[in-house]
This record gives sequence, structure tokens and C-alpha cells, in this order.
Amino acid sequence: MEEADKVHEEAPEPPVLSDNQEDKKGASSFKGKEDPTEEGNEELKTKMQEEKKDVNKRIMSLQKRLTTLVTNIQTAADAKEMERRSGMEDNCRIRDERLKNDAKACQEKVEEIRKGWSIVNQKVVHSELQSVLDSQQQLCAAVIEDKKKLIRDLQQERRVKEDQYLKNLRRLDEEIKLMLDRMQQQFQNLSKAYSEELTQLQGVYQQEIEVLLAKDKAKLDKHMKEHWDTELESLMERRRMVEESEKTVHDVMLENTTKIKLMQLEENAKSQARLREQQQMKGKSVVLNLKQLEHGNKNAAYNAKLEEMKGKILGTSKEVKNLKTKYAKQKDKFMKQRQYLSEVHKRSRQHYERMQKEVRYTTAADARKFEEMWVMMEEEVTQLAEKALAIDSLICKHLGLAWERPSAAFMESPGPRRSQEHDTNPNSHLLQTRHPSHCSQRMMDASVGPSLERDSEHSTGVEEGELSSETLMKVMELLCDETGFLVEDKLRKLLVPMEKNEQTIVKLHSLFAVLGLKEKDLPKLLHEFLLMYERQQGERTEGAEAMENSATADSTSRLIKPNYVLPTLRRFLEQHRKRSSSHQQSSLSHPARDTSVEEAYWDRLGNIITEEKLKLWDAAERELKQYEEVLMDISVLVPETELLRQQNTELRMQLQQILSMLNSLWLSAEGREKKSRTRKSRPSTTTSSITQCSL
Amino acid sequence: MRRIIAEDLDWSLATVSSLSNLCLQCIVNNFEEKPIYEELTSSEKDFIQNRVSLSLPLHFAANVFPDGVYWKRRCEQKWKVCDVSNYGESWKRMFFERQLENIIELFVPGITEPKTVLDMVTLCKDHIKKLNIAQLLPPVKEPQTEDEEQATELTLENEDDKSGMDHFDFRILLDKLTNLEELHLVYKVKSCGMNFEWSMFEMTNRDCESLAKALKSCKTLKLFRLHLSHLEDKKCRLLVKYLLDHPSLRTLDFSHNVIGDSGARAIGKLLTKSKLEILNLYDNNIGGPGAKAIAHALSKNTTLVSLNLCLNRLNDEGGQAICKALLNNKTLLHLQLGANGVTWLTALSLSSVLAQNNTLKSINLSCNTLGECCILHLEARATKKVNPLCHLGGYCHRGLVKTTSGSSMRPSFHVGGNALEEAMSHNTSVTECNIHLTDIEERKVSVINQMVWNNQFRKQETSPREKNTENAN
Repeated sequence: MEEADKVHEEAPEPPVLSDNQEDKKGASSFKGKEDPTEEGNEELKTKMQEEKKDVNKRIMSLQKRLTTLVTNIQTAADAKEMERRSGMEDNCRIRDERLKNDAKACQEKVEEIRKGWSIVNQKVVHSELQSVLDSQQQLCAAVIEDKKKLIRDLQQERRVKEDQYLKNLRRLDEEIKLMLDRMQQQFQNLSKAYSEELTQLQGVYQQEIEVLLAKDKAKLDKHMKEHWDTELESLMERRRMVEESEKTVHDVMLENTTKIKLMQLEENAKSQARLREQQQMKGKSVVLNLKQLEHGNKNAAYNAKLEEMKGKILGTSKEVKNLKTKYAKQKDKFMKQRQYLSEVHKRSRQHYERMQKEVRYTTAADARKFEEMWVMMEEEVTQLAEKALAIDSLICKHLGLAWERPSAAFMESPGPRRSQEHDTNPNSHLLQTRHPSHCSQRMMDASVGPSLERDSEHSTGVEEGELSSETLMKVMELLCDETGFLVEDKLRKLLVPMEKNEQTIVKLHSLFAVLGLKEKDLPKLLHEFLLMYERQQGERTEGAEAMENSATADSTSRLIKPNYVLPTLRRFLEQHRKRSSSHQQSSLSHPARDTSVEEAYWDRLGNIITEEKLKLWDAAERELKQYEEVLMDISVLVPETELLRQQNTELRMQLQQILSMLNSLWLSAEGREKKSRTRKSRPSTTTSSITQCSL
Repeated sequence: MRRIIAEDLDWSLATVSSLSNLCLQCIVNNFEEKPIYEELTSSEKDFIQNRVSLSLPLHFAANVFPDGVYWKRRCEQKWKVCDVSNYGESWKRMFFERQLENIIELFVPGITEPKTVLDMVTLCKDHIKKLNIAQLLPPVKEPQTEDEEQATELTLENEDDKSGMDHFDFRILLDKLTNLEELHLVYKVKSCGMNFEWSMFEMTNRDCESLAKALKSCKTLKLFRLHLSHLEDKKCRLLVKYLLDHPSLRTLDFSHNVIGDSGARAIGKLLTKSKLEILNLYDNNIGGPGAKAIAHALSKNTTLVSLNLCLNRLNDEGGQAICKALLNNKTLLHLQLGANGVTWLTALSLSSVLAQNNTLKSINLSCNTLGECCILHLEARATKKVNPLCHLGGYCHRGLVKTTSGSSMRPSFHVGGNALEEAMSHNTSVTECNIHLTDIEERKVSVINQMVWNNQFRKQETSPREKNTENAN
């Protein structure tokens, strides 16, 4: 049934598709045929539509036939099911009725039997009772018979139903087979119909296409022929035209050439006449012009030169502009770079300073630690020495030797390190105080230019008092002038347009860079120049020229002679280098320790117990060991002797007892002595044994 | 060993495959240890799908391969007949759906671990759209001694409610399948042979409850079909109760069950509440009152397109009720009332519907006794002291053939046929009308068929293209 359903559902699909295809085909063919032959097209259209309708109808009818076949089967099955249901209901009803009837009959009979029992109770006579009982029995048997019959009938019915069911199943099976066959057939039919339809349609379309093709071809041929003919004609005409025109062109050309030649001849004649005139005129004008030319020539030359110059100026100005822009760009770039680099430089310098501080701090910390360690070690060693001395004294006392403390004064005095501590403390104080001063100096010197002057004033003012900025500037200028050979030519050229002040500052910078000095050294340098040299100078020239001395004492004229600038500078540099190197060393390495003192101290400590003493100690140890051994032997022997002594006393006690006994015996035996002489021997033997024992 | 190519006839360059092919082959050989797939180009992917071993563990393959040749190979290895058009042209979906169906069909409650199902579900929950489960096995009964058997016979009726015969519990499955749209269920055992028992072919109460809850949890379900499962009123009511608020259900199919009037009443309620489009109650036990309930719902419903009530017991009471409801309904397209024991009375009311309703497309009235000799009814009614003529109204005089003596001459009193014929002459929408085996006169049947045929043809003439597009959709 379900399969039938499915077929029913699936069936409508294919024709629609085919319709679709047909439609498309029709449309495409229509489109292809939109040509001048409209009448034929119309005909074809109607024909096609008719055909399509026909096809549609046929397909639909086929479909309907096939689907109705399926639905018929389904309805038949439904009908059968209905029939079966109604039959079942009828059967059920009949069975119910029958069962009801039976139950009713049964009830009646049971009633009868019950009544019979009441009769049985009334009967007294045996025979009567027997007969009544028999009848009762018969009634019961009848009831049972009825029931059995009913059961038999029902069973029969069931059997029949079973057979029917089986048959039904078989029939259903056959039907299903049949249906499958039919479905198969339907499929085949449908596909066959479709394929037929397709071939038919294809044939029709093929024919149409052929017809159309033939028609179109003929038309095309015709058209082409006409076209070719017209083309050919026009071409021929054109050729003719071309030939004609060529001829005419040739003629015209010939005519023209003759005309032109004539014209030329005339022109030539005219021009010759004119030339002659001109030359005459020229002859005149040349004379006139010659004078003018002299002037003109000069003017022209100047003009040309001027032009050239102008061009050059323009070119150079352009170049200058370009260069300027380039310069500006470069300047910007370098400015940026410089800023960046200066930042980097500042950062790295800060970093370096931090590192230095750290290093200093760590070295100080290490030194302190070392000191502490050292002190501790010394204390420990002195304690050890004390201990050793104590032991030595003990030993001496034991040996009965006189012991005296070796150089007590040295022992009591603290180690070299501890004694040094007091000395180094102020030293370190100095170091510490020196640092801040450095720092402040550096801080002050960090600002260049005007502040520099102020600084120098400040620092030197303490000692010099009347050293003014003017003198400073002068000194600086002097320095620059004298050491000018160290400054590069280019720089000098660049500096020309600047002010003098700036010049000197820049020069100083470059100079310092060359000499490897820093800005913070400047005031020192100046100081050197102003002070030391003056002093020397003064000393040197004191005796010779007092006038000069007084002149130099004047603050304004207290300048070094230019000749001495270079040597002073050199000396200052040497000093500076030394100082810087020594400064570095002092900052990094510890002050050298006096190792010899310490060595002596340690040696003394090590030799506090002398070699002789050691030998003595060894000998004493050996002796003491021997003595100990002897003592050990004695200690082993003591208990033995003790034991022996005890035994001895015991034996003595025994002997005493025996002797007392013998005495008593002797006393008693005196009486019997005479009777038995023979017994005399026994006591003698005992006494002998006692003596033996005592031994 | 030197050879000149021309001399060696067997020599061929093709024996050495290219390096890329060798690499791909290497990937294929070690695919399980090191799956390289996503990075490859499409042609290389094809190469791998064509060659990778089919025995890869499923949980591994499911995540790596998209739909394609690999799943086709697995399907064809597993089943002989593979029609991928039934699975949305997706081989992967086909593989997983059939795999899960297999697992559920062979699931024996109490013995099979539910984990086997759940494992599978985690792999394939995204791919499954349709489940067609053709059997559900009952739990295995323990072999009982004879004494116990007698005892169980006595308590046989209560057994349903005890845990004895419950089938697979769908609650663990349905709420996890997030794409499920169709569910076909049959509570039966295939090829049970001589072990036949009626209980194998029906669901227990607990089954019903669990199924109902499971259905409620599955929000994407569009089609639910439970057939051949001996569904009774009580269970039907339970199922419908849980389906009342279902958001997406469009098709409900309870064919070949034993639903009676109260079940039909519940379904009527469902019709008013939900947006059902297709309702199939073929081969059930619905009588007049049930049909009235459905008719009442139908008169208010605006979504139902197809109603199948074939092979029930509507009788005239139900048939007339449904026809009356159709007077108010403008959406129903397909109505099937075959084999329902309705008579010319229903035919009369249906023809009154057909005369003014132009939405109905197909009607099935087969296997009813529409054209039954009215005289019999007349006689029957006469015996009940009811005048039939007043009911027949104006239709009587046409088919009425005066009879002199009651039963000797067969009177042709084809009221139903006449009414239908006239109604059809006014109607233009009906394109299918099945009135086989309805005792209507042959001539009338052919006339009606002709009209239907004309309608159909006209429709195809006027809108072939629309229909094409419809079909394409």
C-alpha cells in the first residue's frame, strides 16, 4: 500500500520536467528563427504549439491512467479492509449474541438444577431420591454438553478463521507481487512513453531545423550572390574612374611644369636685376656702416658677454637655492640627530656615573668586610696563641720547669690591623670629603658659557679675589690664539663670520676635544695660567725687574706672555694626565697594605711556641706514655695480689682451726697413747700436709 | 647494468611517481598519527580523501573530513544501496544518519550501554536531519521457570506498567540533535519469527511518556511520524499534550494505529493551537464524535493544508461535520475521506461545499456508498417513522424513478452522484477526485472525471510556468 502511495507521489514529477525542456526548446527555436520569413514562423509557431499541446495531453493522460491504476489498487485495498472490518464486526456481534443466548440458556438450566436440589432435599424415599438425582445428573450433563458444543463450535470457527487468515495472507502476498509487477510495468511504460515522446519530438525538431536550415541557406546564397554582383560592378566602375583620373592628372602635371619653368625664368631675370640694385645699395651702405660697425661690434660683444654672465648667474643662483634647501634639510636632520645623540650621550654618562658609584660603593663594602674578617682572624689567632701558652705553662708546671710568659707586651698589644684602624679612619674621612667637592665642582661646570665664567670667578675668587671676567676672557683668547695651529682650517673658516666671544668659545671646545680635556678642567687650567705661572714668573723675574713685577701685580695687565703659553699648557697637560690616572687608580684600588709588618706579626704568632719547647713536649709525651703503661700494668696486677692475700688469710684461718683441733685431739689421745703406738704416724703426715699448704 | 631504452620494451617512465604524490602517499599512510589536511590544496585534499584508510576511528574522521569522497567511500563500503538524493546530496549526513539509525534499531534496553548512542550523538549531532527508525527492540526477557511463568500470566496486565518492556528512551537523544527535522518511528520488531508476541508491536506507557518529553525537548522537529505502533487513545492524548506548544512541528502522521474518539478530540485541540500543515490519521478508529471535534478545529484553523482521514469510521455524522467545517475554511487543499462508511448525505453536503469553495484541490471519497439506492434508506427511514423526502430536498425528483412495488425492481436513486455532478460543473479548482467503488453510476463517474480532467488541463494551460517554478522550489 505504501509503495503504491509512493508511486502516486512520484509519478507527477517527470512530465513537468519534460514540459520544461520542451518549453525551453521551443523558446530557443523561436528565438533562432526571428528572420524575415515571418509567415513561415507563424505557421511553425502554431504547429509547434499544437504539437506541444498534443504532447502535453498525451503525457497527462498517460500519467492519469497510470496513477489511477495505482489509486485503484489502493481503493481496492481500502475497500477490502472495510469489508474485513465490517465482517469482523458482524462476526463479533454474532458471537456476542450467541454467547449471550448461551449464557441465558445456561442460566435457565442452572436455575432448574437449583430448583431440583430443593426437591432433592424434600424427598425421603430412596428410589425417588435416586430418580431425582438422575434427572439432576442428566441436566448437568446437558449443561456440560452444551458448553462443550459451544467450545467445539468456537474452536471450529477459530480454525476456519485461521485458515482464512492464512489464505488472506497468501492472497495479500500474491497481490503485492502483482502490484510490484504492475509498478514495474508502469515504470517501463512510462519510460517507454517518455522515450517515444522524446524521439518523436526530436524527429519533429530535427525536421524543422533541417527545413529552416535549408531555407536560410538558400536565402543566404541568394543574398550573397547579389551582394557579390553589386560589389563587382562597383569595383569595375571604380577602376575605370581611377584610370581616367590618372590620365587627367598626368596632363595637368605636364602643363604645370611648363608654366612653372616659364615663371622661374621670369623670376630669375627679375631677381638678377634686383641683386644688381642691391649690390649698388650695399656698396653705399657698406661705407656708411663701417663706422657704425666699429661701435656696434663692441656693443655686441659686451651684450653677448652680459648674456652669458646672466645665464651663469641664473644657473648659480638656482644651484645656490638647491644647496640652501639641501643645507636646511641636512641641518634639520643633523639637529635631530644631534639631539638624539646628546640624549643618548647624557643617558650613557648618567649610566656610567651610576656604575662608578656602584663600583666605589662595592669596593668600600668589600674593604670593610675584609677588615672585619681580618680583625676577626687576628682575634681568633691571639686566642689560639693564648691557649697554646696556657697549655705550655701547664706542661712546664707538670715537668717542674720554670715557665715564663714570652714577651707579654707583644701579646697584649693589638694586631697591626687593629692598630691601623685608628689611622685609616681619618683617611677615609678625607676621601669622603673629597668626593662631594668633586661633585659640586662638576655640577657647577656642567653649564657652559657665561656660567663658566661665573664659576671660574667663584672658584678662583677665593684665592685670587680680583680675577675678573675680562681677564679670563683675555686669557682664553690668548690661549686660543697661541694654540691656533691645533684648530682645523675649516673650523677657522667657518668661524670667521662669528663674534669674537663665540669664536673663542668654539675654538676652546675644539681645542679641548683635541687635547682630551673636559670642560670642567677649564677653570683649573685658567687658574694654573693665572696663578702658578705668574708666581714662577714673578719668582724668576723678581730680582731682575721689579717694575714688571709690579705691573703684573696689576689685575688688568696680569697676563702671561704669549711665549710662555705653550710650555705651561704642556706642563698642565702632563700634570692633568698624571692626576687623572692617579685619581682613577686611587678610586679603584685599595691603599697598599704594609705586608711586611703583618708577616712579622704572623710569624711571631706562629713561633710563639719555639722549636725547643716542641722537642721538650715530644720528649715529655714519650716519657709520660711509658709511665702510663707501667701504671696500667700495676693496675692489672693489684687485684691479683689482693686475691692471693685473701686466699692466704683464709688458709691461715683453716690452719688455725686444724691446729686447735689437733691440740684437742692430742689432749684426748694422750691417755690412749700407750695403747696404740701405731697411730702416731698419722698426725705427722697431717702436719706435713699443713706445712705444704702454707707454703 | 646498462640498457638502451629502445631495446627494452618494458621500460617506462611512468613507474616513478612524482615527489608530491609520494609525499601525499606518505601523509595518507601516517594519517592517524599526524593528520595534515586543512593546509592542502583542493586537489591534494581529493587525493587524500580518495586514499585514506576507511578504518580510521570515526571520532577522528568526523572532525577532519568535510562532506565528500571519503564519506561516499565509507557509505558504499557499508551499504549496497546508497541513494544520496534522499539525504540532501550529502554523503556525510547519509553516513551518520544511517549509522545512528542502525545503532538505535539494534539497541537492546538493559544490555546495550546508552553510552554507545551518546558517543555517536556527540560526533554526529550537527549532521542529522532525519531519523527513520524501522524497529525498536524490547529488552531481553530472562528465561523463566514454569512456576514463575504461571505467576506472570496472572500479573500479565500489570506488566506494562512495570519496567519490564520499555524500549529505547529517546529523552537521552532528541534534545542533543540540534538539527533534527524529521522523525519516523515504528514500535515493532522486524522478522521476529516464531517469537511473536503482541507486546512487541506496541509501546508501553512509560515509552510513551518518555517519547513525549523527548519530542517536547526537540525544538527543531518539523515532521513526526509514528505509525504501525498500536497507538491508543490514552497514549495519543499524552503525546498530543506534550506537542501542544511545539514551535516548529508542521507534519503529524499517526497512520495505522488505533486512535479512537477521545484521541481525535485531543488532536482537534492540537489543530487549534499549533500550526500543523499536514495531518495524517489514515487507518485508525475515529468515529463520529472524534470527527466532529476535528471538524470544529478545522473550521477555525488557517494553516492546515492536507487532512487524511481514510479508513476510519466517521459515518455520516463525522462526514457531514467535516463538510460543514469546510464552508468556513479557505486553506485546506487536500481532503481524503475514503473508506469511512459515509453515504449520500455526506455527498450532499460536500457538493454544497464544492459549489462555493474554490480552494480544494483533491478529494477522495472512494469506498463509500454514496450512490446507494436511496430507496433502501427510504424504507429504513420509513420504518423509523421519519419522512426522508424532507431531507432530500430538491435533489430527489431528478433521480427518482417511481416504483410500483418495493424490491422487485432495482430503483436507481442516485442522489449523491447527481449532487456531485452538479457541484463539479460549478467548480474549477478540483483537479483530483477519487470516487471509485462508490456505487455511483458509471456514466456520472465518467462525466465527473471529465470535468476534473478539464480543470486539470485548464490549470496546466494557464499557468505552466508557475507550476514549473513551484516544482523547482
